[in-house]
Amino acid sequence: MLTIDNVVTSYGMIKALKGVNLTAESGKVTCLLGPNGAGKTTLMFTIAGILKTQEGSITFDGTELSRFSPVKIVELGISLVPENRLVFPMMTVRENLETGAYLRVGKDKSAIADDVEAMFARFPRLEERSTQMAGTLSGGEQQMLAIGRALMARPRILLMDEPSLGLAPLIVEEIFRIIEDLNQTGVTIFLVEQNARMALRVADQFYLLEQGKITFSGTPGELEEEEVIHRAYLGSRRE
Amino acid sequence: MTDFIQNCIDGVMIGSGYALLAIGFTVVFGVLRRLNLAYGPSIMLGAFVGALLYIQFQAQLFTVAIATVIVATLTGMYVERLCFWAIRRGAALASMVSSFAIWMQLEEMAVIILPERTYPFPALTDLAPIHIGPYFLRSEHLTMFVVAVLLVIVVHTVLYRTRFGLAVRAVSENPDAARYMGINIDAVMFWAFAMVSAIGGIAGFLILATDQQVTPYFGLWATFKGLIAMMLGGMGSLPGAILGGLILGIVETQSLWYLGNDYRDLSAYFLLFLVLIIRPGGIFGHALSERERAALRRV
Repeated sequence: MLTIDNVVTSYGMIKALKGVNLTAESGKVTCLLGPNGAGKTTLMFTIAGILKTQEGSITFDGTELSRFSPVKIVELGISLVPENRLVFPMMTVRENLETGAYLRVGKDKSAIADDVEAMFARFPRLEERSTQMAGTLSGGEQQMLAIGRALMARPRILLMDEPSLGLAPLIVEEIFRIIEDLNQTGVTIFLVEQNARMALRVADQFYLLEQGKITFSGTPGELEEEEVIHRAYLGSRRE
Repeated sequence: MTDFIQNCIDGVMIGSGYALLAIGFTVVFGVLRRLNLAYGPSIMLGAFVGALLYIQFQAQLFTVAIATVIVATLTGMYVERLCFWAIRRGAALASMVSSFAIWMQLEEMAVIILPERTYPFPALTDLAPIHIGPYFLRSEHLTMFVVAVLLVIVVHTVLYRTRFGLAVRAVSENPDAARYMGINIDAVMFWAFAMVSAIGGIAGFLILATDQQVTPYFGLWATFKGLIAMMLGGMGSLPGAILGGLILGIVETQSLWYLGNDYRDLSAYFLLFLVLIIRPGGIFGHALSERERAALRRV
């Protein structure tokens, strides 16, 4: 279970997160909604240790990780699927997957080979393209690769930052089917999305982040109230 | 025709040394996206310590080689800490300017160690040239070429077959994503820098032991040759660095023979000028950047 308690993160003088509280339960899909600039990616980076908290604590299964390095956090079992996928364009699909298991590379070669095969079984499209440069894949395939790469670290929780960004509607549906499948095989998912309607299909718990604060938390049923979804896209109307 | 082929042979031998210098620039450029102008001077300082041991203590060739490589590597690490690690990514120009300042510092240090203009450097071999039909090969050149080939194989193996190499390539392609994978990018940059400085040290030793002398201008010379070879081949490309080095070697030898010593460097600059006009990314760089552009459009 990932618990974020009163977290404050700043870029210089500007506070991007102003005391965020949320919990991502093990085995569930937790979705964070919010308009552009609300601080969603900042929160992801803070969990992943890329940005440091100024106040508050982040605990994962009881371990305080707000002072850990990004390397240590990956080791603990927290993997990030970054916004815009960020695959390594000039490396092959297979090499991309191997970088995901970087902390284990050189230690258990056969286990990594097995995991690569498991990813190919999960994403057959990647197997067809295993020797191709990742940069030549389509957007949807790159997203699958980014997910597979993160899974190669054998994470206990997967942080996904806007996996639907810039993808065609049919591909978005496919990506969400993958998220659903992953969750059914026991992967805990913390998802950042702007696409609230798609997220409604997969998520168990919702949070809405606006201007660095959580302004709504609830179940999918509670979310379906039109006004909150509207805020997820556009933010609260300010007088 | 015999002359032309003989020049090509010599050019390839000399060019193998340039290729090693260019590999140093290209790997650092790939990983850091920044230029290290102090690369040549770091090698020169190593060579000066080697020369000092040779002159003062009559050190053996092997000792001089080890000293050159170790000092060049340590100096490279010093440059990395001061100009690259201390100045964060995004300030590429600041790193380059400060590496220029370190260049001055290293040159002054070399002059303090050995204040004369020229010092002797031990000869690589005293074997006679090898004759193959009408052509001949200097044994120093052959040694340099063989070591260069071996080093290229080592570098390629490190980059494509080891964990460290996987990290180096990941950082070259996308440092942010590399960090999300749990790669300690600062450590990767540091050790890539150290590796490259050691290669530079070996290259410098081979070149100087062929010339049998060293001057403080060797730093400038090595930076120039490495940069030109890298730009000919394409920034950040390993095959480009090798090809660029060989072409530079051949062009220099040919123009030295047919046009005279005055035209040796001029023709190299002219070639660079032409390449930059026709293929601004360098020989391999153009194809690379095209492919990269196609790749990046989709990322």
